[in-house]
Amino acid sequence: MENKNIRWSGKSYGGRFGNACFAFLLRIGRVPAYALLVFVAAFFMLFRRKQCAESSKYLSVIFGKNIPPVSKQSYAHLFSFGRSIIDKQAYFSGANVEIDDKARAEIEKILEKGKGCVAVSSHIGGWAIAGGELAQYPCPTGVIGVSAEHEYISKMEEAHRRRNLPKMIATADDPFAMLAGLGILRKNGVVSVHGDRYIAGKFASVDFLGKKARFPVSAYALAEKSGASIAIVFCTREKSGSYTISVSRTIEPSSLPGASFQERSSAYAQAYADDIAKTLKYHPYQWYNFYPFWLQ
Amino acid sequence: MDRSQLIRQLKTKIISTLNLPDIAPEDIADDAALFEPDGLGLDSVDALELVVMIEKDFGITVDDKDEAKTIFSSVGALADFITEKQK
Repeated sequence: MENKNIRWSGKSYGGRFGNACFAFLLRIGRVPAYALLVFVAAFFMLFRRKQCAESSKYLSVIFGKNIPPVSKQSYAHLFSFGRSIIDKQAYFSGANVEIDDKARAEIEKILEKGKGCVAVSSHIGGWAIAGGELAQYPCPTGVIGVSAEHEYISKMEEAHRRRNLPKMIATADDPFAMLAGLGILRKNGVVSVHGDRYIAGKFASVDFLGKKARFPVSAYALAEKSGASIAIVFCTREKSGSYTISVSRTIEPSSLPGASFQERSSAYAQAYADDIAKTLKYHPYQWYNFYPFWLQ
Repeated sequence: MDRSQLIRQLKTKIISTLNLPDIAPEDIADDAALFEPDGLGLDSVDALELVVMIEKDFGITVDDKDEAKTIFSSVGALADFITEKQK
C-alpha cells in the first residue's frame, strides 16, 4: 500500500452548447440523442485525439493488439461512453430506463447482519444509475465520490428533482469526508464507494489486465473500521438497452489473508480488479476511465 | 494526567495506530498540522483510523467532519479536545 497524489479532477469534456443540444433532444427521447451522438463520437475521435488517447491504450490492452486512436473500436468506445451519459441524464430526468437490480436481494441479505454494506462500484456501464437506485433502499444510503461527480449529481438533482437520490459525499481534499460514510454504515446503511479512480491517499498496486495499476483502498478501510461487509457491484448496459445491477462477490472484513491492513487491502483490491477484468470481458466498451490508468 | 503527558501518549498512539515506524514521538511538534502536506501529511484512511482510535481508547465519538477537522488539526488540539471532554 502506497500513498501518492496525482492531479486529476474527474471532470469530463463537453461544452455547455453541446449539453444543451442533448438535453433538448432528450425531451423527445433517447433515440434522437443517440442519433446526434453518432456524429459527436466521430468528431471526438477525429479532432480530440489527445483527450481520447487513453481509450486507445485501454482498448489495446483489453483486445491484446494495437488499436489505433482512429478505428472502429475507438469509435465504439466513445459512442458507448456518450450513450452512458445520455442514459444517465434520461434516468435523472425521470425517464423510463429499464433496470434489473439483481444486487438488491444480496445487499438486503448482508444488511440482516446489522453492520451495513460497503458497495464497491466502478466507472463501468451505468455507475451513476446504480448510485441513483440506492435511494430506493429502505435504509440510510450514501455515495462517496470525487467532487466533480458530486457536482454532476447535485446539478441533476437541482435541475430535475424527479428522483430521490442518496446522500452524496465528496471526498476531494477532505480527509474527514469518510466520516459521513462511517455514520451511515453504523446505522446499518449502504455506502457506495468507487474503487477504481485513484485521486490521492493510500492505494494498492495490483495486477489488472496484465499490468500493474493503482486502486484506492479507502473503501476497504471503511469496511474494516465499521465491520460492514463488502459487496463488489457492477451496473452494465445490456444489448436491449436495459441496465443490470449485480454483485460479483461479497467479502467479510478482515477475512482475507494478511496480518496488516496494508496486506489485506492489496488482497481486497486484487479481488476487485479481477472482477472488473471478468466484467470487461463481456462488456469491453463500457470502461469509462479515460486517464492514464496503468503504472508506467 | 497533565497536558504534556497526554500529548506524549497521543503521539505514541498515533505512531502505533498508523504504523509509522520511521517517526519518533519527539519528531511530531505539538502544533504540527497532521493532515497538511507540510506536516505529517495524513490522508482519509489515517483519519478513519484516528477517529476509531479515539473512540476505543478514550470513549469519545467524533462524527461531524467539520468538527473533526479542528479536533484533529494537531496533537495539541486533540489533547485539548480530549481534556475538555473528560472534565
